[in-house]
Amino acid sequence: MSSRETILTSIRRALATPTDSPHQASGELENPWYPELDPAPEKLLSIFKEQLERLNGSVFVEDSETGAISRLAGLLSKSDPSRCWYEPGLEWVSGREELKDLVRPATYETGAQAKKALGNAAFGVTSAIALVARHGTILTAATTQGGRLLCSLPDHHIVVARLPQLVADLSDGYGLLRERFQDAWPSFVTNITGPSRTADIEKILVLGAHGPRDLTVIIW
Amino acid sequence: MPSYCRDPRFQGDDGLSEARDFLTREREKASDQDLKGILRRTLTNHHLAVERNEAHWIDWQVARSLAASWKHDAISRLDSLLEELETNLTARGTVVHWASNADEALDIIDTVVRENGVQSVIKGKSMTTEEIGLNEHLEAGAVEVVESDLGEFIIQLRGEKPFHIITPAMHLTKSDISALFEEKLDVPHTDDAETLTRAARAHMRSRFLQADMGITGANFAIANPGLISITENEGNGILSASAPRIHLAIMGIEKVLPQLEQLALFLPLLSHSGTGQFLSCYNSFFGGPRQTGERDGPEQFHLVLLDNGRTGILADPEQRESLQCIRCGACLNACPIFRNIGGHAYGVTYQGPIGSVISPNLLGVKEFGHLSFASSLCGKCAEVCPVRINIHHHLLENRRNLVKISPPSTLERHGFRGYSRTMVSATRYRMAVRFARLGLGMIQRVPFLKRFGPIQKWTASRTLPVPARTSFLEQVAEERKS
Repeated sequence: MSSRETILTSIRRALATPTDSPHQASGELENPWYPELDPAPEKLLSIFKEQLERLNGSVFVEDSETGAISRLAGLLSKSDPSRCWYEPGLEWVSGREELKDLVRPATYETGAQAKKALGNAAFGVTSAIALVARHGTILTAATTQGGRLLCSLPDHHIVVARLPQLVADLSDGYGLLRERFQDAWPSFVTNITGPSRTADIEKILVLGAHGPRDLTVIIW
Repeated sequence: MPSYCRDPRFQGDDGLSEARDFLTREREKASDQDLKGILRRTLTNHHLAVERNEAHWIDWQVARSLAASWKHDAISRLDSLLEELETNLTARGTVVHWASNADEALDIIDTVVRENGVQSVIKGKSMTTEEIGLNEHLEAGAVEVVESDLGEFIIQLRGEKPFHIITPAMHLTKSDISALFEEKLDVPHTDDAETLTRAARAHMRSRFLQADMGITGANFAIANPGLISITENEGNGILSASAPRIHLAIMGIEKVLPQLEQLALFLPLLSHSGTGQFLSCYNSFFGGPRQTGERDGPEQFHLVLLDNGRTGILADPEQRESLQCIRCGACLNACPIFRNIGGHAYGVTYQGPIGSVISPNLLGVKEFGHLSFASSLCGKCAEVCPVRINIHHHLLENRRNLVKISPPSTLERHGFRGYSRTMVSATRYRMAVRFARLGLGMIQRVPFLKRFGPIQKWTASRTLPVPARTSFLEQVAEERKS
């Protein structure tokens, strides 16, 4: 008998004697554990901003596309353009005259190329699936956000997003994932909540452990 | 079997060498004042963070109950959830392996290493790999292994085992770590945690990019849509799973949950209880190797499902609940015993109260049952457990099971028989009180007696109480007379 069969058989034999849970069961996947949030976009935005800033992330709210582009240009201009990369196909960035000389598309085809390009990157610019207000969390996926390394290797991760992408809770975000990826689930989805951090030395907080030291979200 | 169980120092023929070693280590650690200082500081900070965080929840107790019932439900249909997980992951090109024990898991990993010519491995933090003794095994086969979590990296450089399942280097100060980095990595001496972290980051960057294989654990697995979830703060988990051409994850079979939506509760719950964070920095879902249309990611993704004694626990309806554990470490932080002796004294992979519940049942009740006595049964562990495992109750069951298979000494047996007979009779109780007063007084007056058998065990580290001149009952009787 294979180990698979051995394990499954042992499990079935064990479960032939069922146990009751002493705790109240609930079939609902709704959210009874947090107080409800006001779903108005401006309310969600202020909660998102407060949460992410508490975790040393920065949030810029712009009132127009032009404002957002010039904010992005301002951030990117601090670095050598050969170290700045953006998610290919990100319509916000591609074809913009103001950004043409500041950032290049991450159009590598192989893992080796990606590592070579991003190992020493200063900026990675990506979109997001959703922004979760409650925790100040950014939801991204490999199929749409330029892969796994663009959001994790550069020193500074910049996320560009639109106001309607804000949702109240993680469960709302996961609902969007289901809708979007129903038939083809991506190999990688991540919930990013602040810049990379560690407290492994005497519980002292240090930012930028292995992932990005800075995290900026530009919303308009 | 973890590597330290194979250590010849820990082997004896009576099966009690583990217990003896535990007593030696426990005595040594309990009198280490520096260690106690560090533990007190860190754990106090931790408790304050958890307390502050409680305000986010409508009712933390309701959240715990819900989590407990969901975990119970998942364990109750473990077989079908594992099959569903396997089907969904395989459809995306994942190779799912099943391992009955540690040796089978190591064989599976060896095969992947051999078939792909793997020479270097970068690791994300994983207690399951500690459980099977993976690092030592790979190194013996001349594969370079680097731990990428900062705490684990420090422990690896020191050649130690993790001190705590969440905070492996909890027992070390900045200056200990600086001295270590100075010696091993040529980093100039510093008192600054940030400089030390930067040094580790720089050291690790090239290793992430060059390693052939990344090995991680998993905090949760989700049957639908079929993925594993890894919680971390540093970004080393994402990099270990994404930069090398092969990603291999290993997890205990009990970690699977039915639905993705349940993580909306479990991720904040784990962060809350583990580190006192509202939500940890990175919670990443891995559902396969690089898919068509994705720009990067590993060519192969392997998932090893490990039994290693878990189905044994499942078969015991009394102990089954302990499989609900999400390894948050809350019970370690709360435990008065852990706070005094720290994680190394336990001598097993999973330390603290939950470790003392599951280790005897994973590794052998006879050899590891003594851990169930490393508890004051105060119940704080059960009170903080986010999935409501009745930890101290299971410790009592373990004690009973141990007594069944290795009966206590004649003295102990008679002693307790006498005790129970005394306690059920008022006359015998009054008589015993008089004797005890006499006996205690005698021991106080004749110091020589303190060196005898059971008396010595008590007096070695404690002062004997001076008996009151009259007992409470006698005082009441006296009152009534006058």
